[in-house]
Amino acid sequence: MKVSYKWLNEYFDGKLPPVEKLEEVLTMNSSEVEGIEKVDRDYVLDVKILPNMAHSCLCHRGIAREFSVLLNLPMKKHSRDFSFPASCQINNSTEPGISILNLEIKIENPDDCRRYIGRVITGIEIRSSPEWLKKHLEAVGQRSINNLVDATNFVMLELGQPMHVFDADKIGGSLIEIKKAKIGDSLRTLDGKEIVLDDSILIISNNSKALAIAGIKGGTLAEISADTRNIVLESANFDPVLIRKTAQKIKIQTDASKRYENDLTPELAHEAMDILTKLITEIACTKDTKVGKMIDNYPRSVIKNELGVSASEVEKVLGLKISEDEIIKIFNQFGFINKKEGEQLIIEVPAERLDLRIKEDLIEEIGRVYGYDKLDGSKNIITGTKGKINKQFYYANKIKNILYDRGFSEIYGYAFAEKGDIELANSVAPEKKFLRNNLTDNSKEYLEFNARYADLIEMPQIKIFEIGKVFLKDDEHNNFIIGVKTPTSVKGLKKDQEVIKEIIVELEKELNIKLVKINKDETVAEFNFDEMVAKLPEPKEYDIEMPAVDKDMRFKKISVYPFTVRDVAVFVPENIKQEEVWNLIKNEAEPLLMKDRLFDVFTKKMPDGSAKTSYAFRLVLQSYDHTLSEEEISGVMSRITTKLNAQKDWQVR
Amino acid sequence: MNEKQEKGHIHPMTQFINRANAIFYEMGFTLVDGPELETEHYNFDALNVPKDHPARDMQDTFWIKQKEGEIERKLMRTQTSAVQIRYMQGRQPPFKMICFGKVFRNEATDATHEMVFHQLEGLMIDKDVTMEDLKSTLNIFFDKFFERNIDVRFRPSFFPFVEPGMEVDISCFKCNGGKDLKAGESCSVCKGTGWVEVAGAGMVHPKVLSGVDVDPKKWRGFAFGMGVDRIIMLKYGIDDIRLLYSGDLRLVNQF
Repeated sequence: MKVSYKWLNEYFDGKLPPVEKLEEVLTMNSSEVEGIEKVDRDYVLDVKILPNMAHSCLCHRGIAREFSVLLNLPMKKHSRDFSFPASCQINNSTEPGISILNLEIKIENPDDCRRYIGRVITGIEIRSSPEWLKKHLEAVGQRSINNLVDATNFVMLELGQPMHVFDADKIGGSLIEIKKAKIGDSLRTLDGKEIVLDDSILIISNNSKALAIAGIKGGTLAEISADTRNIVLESANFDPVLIRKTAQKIKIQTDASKRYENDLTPELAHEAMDILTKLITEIACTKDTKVGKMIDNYPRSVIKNELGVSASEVEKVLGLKISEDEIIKIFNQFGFINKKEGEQLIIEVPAERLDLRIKEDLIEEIGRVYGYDKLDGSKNIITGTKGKINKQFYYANKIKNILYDRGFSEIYGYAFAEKGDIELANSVAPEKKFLRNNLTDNSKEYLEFNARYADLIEMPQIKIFEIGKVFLKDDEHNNFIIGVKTPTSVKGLKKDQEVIKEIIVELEKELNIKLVKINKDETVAEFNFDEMVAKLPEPKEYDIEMPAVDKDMRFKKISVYPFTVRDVAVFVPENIKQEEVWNLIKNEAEPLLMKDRLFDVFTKKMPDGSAKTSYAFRLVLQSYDHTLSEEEISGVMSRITTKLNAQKDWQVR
Repeated sequence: MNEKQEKGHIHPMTQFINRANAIFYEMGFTLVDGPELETEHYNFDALNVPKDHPARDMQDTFWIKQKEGEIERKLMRTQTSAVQIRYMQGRQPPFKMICFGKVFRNEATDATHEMVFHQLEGLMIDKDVTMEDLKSTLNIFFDKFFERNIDVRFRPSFFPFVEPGMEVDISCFKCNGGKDLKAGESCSVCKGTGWVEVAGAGMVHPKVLSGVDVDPKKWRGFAFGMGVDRIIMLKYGIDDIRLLYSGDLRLVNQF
């Protein structure tokens, strides 16, 4: 939610600390600030309000209250004064019996609508809003529409209470009913959408004509227009689940529906109606303005709750000892009315704090204000007792280690596939509609893919394995595959099927069990891993030494441009070491050198009696920002050749 | 020719869990598994995330197509916390477990978001486990994992299954919490803030405990959940999360 620094400051005498300090205080003790934007001469904080704070903090007053507590600053009730202007002649009809339009509010089900306050004002004028109001709204990204709509938005952003205004003359009577719509009813929204209603949707209606979808959006029937003279104000409260379900059903989410679905106290409606009335008369009145009394239908008023906690209960959860005096000080900072009964420090839970229901909620308030930085994180919690061995994990590692030793690479494959036994209801793509029921299908693709990069990944023969979940009807278990693929251009290596056969024999020997292949493929062998493990003995210790990543290892970015392979072989005097030759080559080939491999070494007696060693290297060249041209490649190679040939008695082959 | 067998490569995710498990095992935590295809009950209801509650919006879910007559809704688990519930059910406290595995979120994918990623979950319930024990456990783990002194800090947050709930940051393992940075320098891992967000955590909500017949008046403790992919990507400088799950040996063979 966006909040304006200037608007927040209006709750306090004097200047608030700079915005960076506010960001820090809020993020470390309340809610995360996701960003700060400079807007004109104001700052706007984008605060992440999570569901527990949303009851009371989706408004400037809620955030101001957080700062009041955390910075220990007294705050005002509102960001500005709201009062009936002296300039306008207001007939504030508070006397019983004098009401304009005889407004009547009927609530069909108090579970759906917990409170509805209606109020009539006659003789107003639609105008554009005063500058101060426009500026407040625009700072937080709200468009200014006209004085009435702006006023309702202002109150919502100030207090968190959504408000609505109807054209009183278009309602069609004096009765406002809050009830479920009938199947087949419809409503046209203010932005032209035709919404089909049914009996699960709560509407504000007159004579069964839908005026608004309760808590979400108003309809065109009684909407405000430029010649509206008389209005009905709405300040109401609805069941959060009902609003959420409806918003999802009709696919309309609004600032109002968001606040309702997070649950809001019905106690707020009265104050909101009061300040909206005053604000509207301030900015929309004429000499004929008359203000009706509030018609407040509040079937079950909210009971005040108490919540208590003892200092020792706080310590039991936090681990930190906070004294009773400290706790009471924090309660006072919050403005909680509190008392002490024996060891229990009890607060009156303010109506809007729907998040304070159990002791732990209160302990969190105490903890976050006291400061989590005060928690001691250096306790010695190691008792010497070890955990239990996980058999699955143990044998997975055993197998991985054996395969690692024999040149296999581990992959983690995708769980979603084009076909399978179990289908997703909301998949993102047709080739990802099912849960995989085997590992072979995907593995064949991975082998294909990696075969193209054999030189880049320094694997003349692609050898992979995976241990992962497969999903059959009512059966989720781990399978295990080994796959081998020789790229088509490579000759002279053992056949893929041979490698598979050999590795299976090796595994059976190491594990001392028979492996049961469950697929037909010869170059990808799949097994039921869980069944394998069931046959194996219980491990006593985690005694398998797994390879560890070099602490300083840095991932080398993968280039999207094609790579080229070139070989270079050179005869050198027998005593010359590989590194010496290599360093010269490296010097010339960098920064295009992606990979390199010594693939052949032999010593030979030359016709003249001397002994020479031949080193042959395979170079993989690639650039990060373009496709290498023939010139670039041959340029590098000829530079290498020149450099090598320049050495005494070295001869490039 | 030299017949020496060239070694293969273990996936960095496996390397992570091996190190993490070794550290937690010594601290007395048992590694536990659970299903990836979960029920709505274990993934949400038992974790105090009721239906039709905004808290459900915090995680976009992959739902399984329901068959005729099926009452319970199934999904791909959105967090490993469901395993905690399964573990506690039918067992008596104290509990000390970790769980590592895939979780699934129905989100748009890009360099930092994949539909599947890994979490490392931890749970400790006993007679008097406190938030300081949580902080200390995480401190020890991160010190050992990064093989250097790491600081841990908490920020208030909200998860339905813990109260108090918090986000956990660690001091940047690359620039030593900003201390190794020279004037004007930034850090590719922490962007110069000195801190890296790594986990959500909190004290297990009494409702969650009583839901598995553990008396919250007698027993209490903490839970934490780390997004592992992020830690690995930051540690090794991997710039695209999708590389971890696409079977691409151009990534795996670097490890």
